[in-house]
Amino acid sequence: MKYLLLFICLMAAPGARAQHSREEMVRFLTNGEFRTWLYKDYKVTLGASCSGDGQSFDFYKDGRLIWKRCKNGTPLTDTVRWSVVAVPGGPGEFYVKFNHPIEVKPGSQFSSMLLNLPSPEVRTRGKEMEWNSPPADKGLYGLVLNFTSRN
Amino acid sequence: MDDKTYNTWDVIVKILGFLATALSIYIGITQFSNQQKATAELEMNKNFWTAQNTVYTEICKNAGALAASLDDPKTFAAEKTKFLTYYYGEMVLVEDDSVKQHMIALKAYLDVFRIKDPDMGVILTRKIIELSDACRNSSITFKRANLK
Repeated sequence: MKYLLLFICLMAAPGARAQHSREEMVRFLTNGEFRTWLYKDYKVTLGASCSGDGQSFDFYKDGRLIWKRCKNGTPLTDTVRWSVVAVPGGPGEFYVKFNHPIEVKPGSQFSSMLLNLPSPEVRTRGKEMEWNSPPADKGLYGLVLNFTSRN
Repeated sequence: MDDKTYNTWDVIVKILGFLATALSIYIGITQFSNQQKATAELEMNKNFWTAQNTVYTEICKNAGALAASLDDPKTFAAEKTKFLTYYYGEMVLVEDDSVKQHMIALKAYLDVFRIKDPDMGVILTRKIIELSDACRNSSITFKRANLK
C-alpha cells in the first residue's frame, strides 16, 4: 500500500510527465510521411516564378529536406539531409541537424538548431514550430526562427 | 689593538648594527603590509561572496517563482521580466562561467517557451533546477578557493 501511494505521488508530480521521444518528434515534424513548414511568406505562382520573403521546408520521413526560397522572383531549391538528435543531458530536448548549412535569416548560417514543437499535432495546418540557438554570450542575440505548418 | 684599529671596528660594528636594525624594520613593515593586504583581500572576498550569495538567492527565488507560476500567466510574465532584469543586471556582477551558461540557456528557452504546453513546462522546470544547482556549486567553489 505504501509503495502504491508513493507510485501515485510520483506519477502526479510534474517531473513525472513523459517527455516526447525522438521518434515522436520525427513524426510531428514529418506527419509520419512528409510535412511542409513555412518560414514567413513563400508562394510559388504558376510557371516558374515565386514571391514572398520567406522559405519553405518539406521534411520527408526518409531524411530528405527540400529547402525552397525565392530569389529575384525565381525559386531556388536544394535538397539537404536532416536528422533529429537528442540534446545530451537534456531529456525531452532535441536538435534538428542538417548535413549542409542553411541560411534562413541573412548572415546567420547554421547546421543545427534546437527544435521546439509546442503542443504538437500531426496533419494540422497552422501548427507552430520554433528553432532556436542560444547566444554564445549574454551581450549577443540568440537566433529564433518561427515556422507554420502547411499540412 | 691600537686606537686606529679600534675605531675602524667600532665604525663597522655600528654600521652593522644600523643595517640590522634597518633590515628588521623593513622586514616588519613588509610583513605587516603583506598581512594587511591579505586581510584586505580576504575581507573583499568575504564581501563579494556575501553579495554573490544574496544575488544567487534572489535569482533562485525568482526562477523558482517562474516554475511555480506555470498555471498563472500574469504572475509568470511578471517573474519573467524580473528574471531579465537580473539577467542583464546584478547577475553579471557575481556569476561565474557555469552560472552564466545556465542563465543563457534558461533565457533562450524562455524566448521560445509556451506556458500552455505542459511538456515545455517540465523542461523549463529542469532548467531552473539546473540553474539553482549551478548557483550552489559556484558559491561553494568560490568559498573553497578564496575564503581559507
